[in-house]
Amino acid sequence: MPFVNLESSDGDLVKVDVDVIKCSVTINALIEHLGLEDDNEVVPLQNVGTETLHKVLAWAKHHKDDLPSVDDDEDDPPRERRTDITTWDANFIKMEQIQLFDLILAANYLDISGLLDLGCKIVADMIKGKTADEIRTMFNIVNDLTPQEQEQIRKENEWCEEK
Amino acid sequence: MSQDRELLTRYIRGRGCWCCGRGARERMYLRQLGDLIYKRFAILPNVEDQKYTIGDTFTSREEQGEFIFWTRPGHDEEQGTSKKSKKENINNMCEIYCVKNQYWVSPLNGEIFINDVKINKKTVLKLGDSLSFGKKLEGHKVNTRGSKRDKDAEKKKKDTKDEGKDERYDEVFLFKERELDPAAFLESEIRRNRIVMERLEEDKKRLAIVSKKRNFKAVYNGNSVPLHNDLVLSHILSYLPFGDLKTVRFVSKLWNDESLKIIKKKAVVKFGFGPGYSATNESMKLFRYVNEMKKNPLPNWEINLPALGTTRADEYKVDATPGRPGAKLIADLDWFLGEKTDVVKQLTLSGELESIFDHEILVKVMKNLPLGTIQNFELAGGWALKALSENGELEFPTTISFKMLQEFTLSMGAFNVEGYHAKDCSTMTWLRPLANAVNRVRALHLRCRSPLSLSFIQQADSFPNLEQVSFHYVNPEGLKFLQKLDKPLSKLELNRLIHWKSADVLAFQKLLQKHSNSLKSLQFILPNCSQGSMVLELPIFPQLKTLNLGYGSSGDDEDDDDNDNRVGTNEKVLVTVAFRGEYGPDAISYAKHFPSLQSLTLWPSGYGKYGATESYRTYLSDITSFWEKHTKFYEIFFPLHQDEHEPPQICKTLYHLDVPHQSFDYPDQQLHIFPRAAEIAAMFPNVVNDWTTEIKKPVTIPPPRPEKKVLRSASKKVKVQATRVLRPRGTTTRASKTTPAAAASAKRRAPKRKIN
Repeated sequence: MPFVNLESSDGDLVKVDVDVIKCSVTINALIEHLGLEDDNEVVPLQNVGTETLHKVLAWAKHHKDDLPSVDDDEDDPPRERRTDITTWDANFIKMEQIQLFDLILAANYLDISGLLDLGCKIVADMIKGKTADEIRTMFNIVNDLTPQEQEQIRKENEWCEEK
Repeated sequence: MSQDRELLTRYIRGRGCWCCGRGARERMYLRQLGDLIYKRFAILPNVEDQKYTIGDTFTSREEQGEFIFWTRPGHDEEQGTSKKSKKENINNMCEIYCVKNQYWVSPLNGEIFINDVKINKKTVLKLGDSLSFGKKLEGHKVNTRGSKRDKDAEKKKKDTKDEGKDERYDEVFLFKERELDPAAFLESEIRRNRIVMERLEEDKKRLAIVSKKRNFKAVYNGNSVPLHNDLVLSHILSYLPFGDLKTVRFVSKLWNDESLKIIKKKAVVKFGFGPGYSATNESMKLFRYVNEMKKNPLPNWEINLPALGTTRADEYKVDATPGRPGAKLIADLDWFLGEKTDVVKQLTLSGELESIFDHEILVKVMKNLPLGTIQNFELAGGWALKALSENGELEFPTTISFKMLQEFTLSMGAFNVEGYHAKDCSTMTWLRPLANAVNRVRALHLRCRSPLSLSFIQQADSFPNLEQVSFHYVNPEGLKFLQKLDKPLSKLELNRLIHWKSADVLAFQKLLQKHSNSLKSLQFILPNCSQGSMVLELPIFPQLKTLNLGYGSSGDDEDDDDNDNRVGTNEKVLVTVAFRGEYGPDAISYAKHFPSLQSLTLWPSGYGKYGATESYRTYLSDITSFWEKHTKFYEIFFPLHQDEHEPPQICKTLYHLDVPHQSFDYPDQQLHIFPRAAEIAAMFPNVVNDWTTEIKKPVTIPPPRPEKKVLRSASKKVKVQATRVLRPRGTTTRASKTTPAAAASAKRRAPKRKIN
């Protein structure tokens, strides 16, 4: 069974079954294009810490038999984005906010759409129903909008109705 | 601070709007100032050198600027019946100019007061000033504003003595800074959202989904990098409901930019000019849109034209005689569509066409539309055929030409003199230029009755590029049209198959075979397809992702119009479904017949998916008996696993499955799992929804109450990895009180339980 060595930003090496990590488009492309056939070759992941990498691998291992993610066909009518989460994923994603953000960034860097979807759904759930002030406080975001810009947004929002 | 200003007027509870009589239904912001409640009369945008005229007679935009309709109380609406000259009947009260952030008032035909001081020349208006229109000398003792429609409201007003109204004036306005999204209104919206969210939270807890409250109080002190990354942020925001997208625009510039991109895709701006058009805010709608949406114009529009030229007098007509609101609407549309509108990509144009004049206005609007940029066009509304044909020749100009059009929808109705859907539209040959203007589209949707659909498609030379077709009603002639299409179809949605004979069913089978390799989405409704002897054999669909299949009569009038020779409801020819096998019709094999299927919807027509009616709802009052009644139909798609030596069929590609699964009688939160739900959930392991999650959830069954002398250790809890029947609140889980249907269901499932 082929393996690949991943090096976290903390310098730790993790040996991974290629079948498990094939969900990562980034690593898959590296393996295909660079031909990492030697088990001793190392793929450095400068943006992923050891703890996060282990979480990514835990998720990838559980989902390794999943079908490729469903992409909306351009010809298909726009439909509701799926917001359902399996029980396993719900338990997996129970973590501190800082870890969740690291996981989202790792999923984005490694191009793992399923994991990125999961993380983004959870953050979206945190945002739902909150006021702008509450969101800024929750995520420590600075409001850089001028009063005039905020007034303009209010005016524009009055025109926007959902299709 | 807003630079725009507004005029407020007194709001009297329970009284309809004076100009259109339906103020109580309007969405309006009420403001309490002192003891009095005010509502908005007009917004006055701060546009340099802009003129606003307030009165009852519109002449032109050039002369009057933005015209704001105000009718003098008691003034006869039917000016034509008055003995006075036209000039004497004009009650244009004043002009308001906007110059260098200041607003100036200049009197016209009436007496104007600012803070109770009569003015005779141009005078500046200051924030907080009261602007009053003096009473006309002819002695309208009582303020009878709103004419005949408002008699009841006036009576009520008299009863309340209208405290605070000055008897010297016909109208008193308060000049204020424009208020955007008043705090009280916003708060109520937030509260409403919170209630919805709390309900969602309950659901999520039930589904063991992580609670959002867990992290709410824990302020994140680290670097929230994902929320500064536009790609990740955009991904997160794409999961938000529309209302939240509007809220998060206020978080920061980046959040505003990213949410706006999504809003532009999901939002539509509605230019409705119905009976409310004579109301002041409505009449300035186009002007305000141009000024307020300059930076971020929306690409999706809906324009709804009222009946203008009809002599019919009712609240849905807008008077288009000179000087009246309809005349302003026509002038406004001329001006508006001449503005920069080339951002428009999707447009719905609807209108109630009750006269030649209405039709001409529609055509004029169409000519002025940004035809070069529109990709998706829908024509909706209704043609009153009798009135139209009696008054002259209708025509569509041949000059109308769409350059980028990809998708066309016809949602019009054609009505006869009694107001019913016309059964013969063969005389509508004037549709030919329209049909040929849109016949290069890739997607055609005909959401109208079959006579009109048929007339429309017969007018077009051909539709050479069609890849997606949806028909609301398909009769045999419509089927012939579909058979002639050469290009492989990727989407075929046929709601009602009407007036079909058995030969048409075979022709339909051939049609599906012809497009089986290219179809990605298929929808149709067959009547009584589960009980019949006529078999519709479905081919193998290698690329099909979405299948929506309905059955049964919808109960609408066209469905019941002509029962002779029809498939279905008269039971002369009954249709059922089978699947192609090596030696003839075979049972379904998802791996073979639908290897790419991702979404499957199986609903009886009229049970909700295709227009639920109360009578049908009653059938779903008991989900168990529903499934027992329709068992044959559902066994076609969910065959019973009979051969114990063969593994059960599993379809991993499906992620969305929609079948009746909940009784209407029970509140939303309470699931009542239907018979065979466990088998079906196991058949589609990647389907995640409320009932599959509930089915797969481990259930703790309370042990029987131990007898006194039994050791405690004997009452060890047992976990069962299996299905369960949920009951409405208030019922017990004890076996002795289980419903007979649930008990039978549990008995069927019993051997499959795994005890850990």
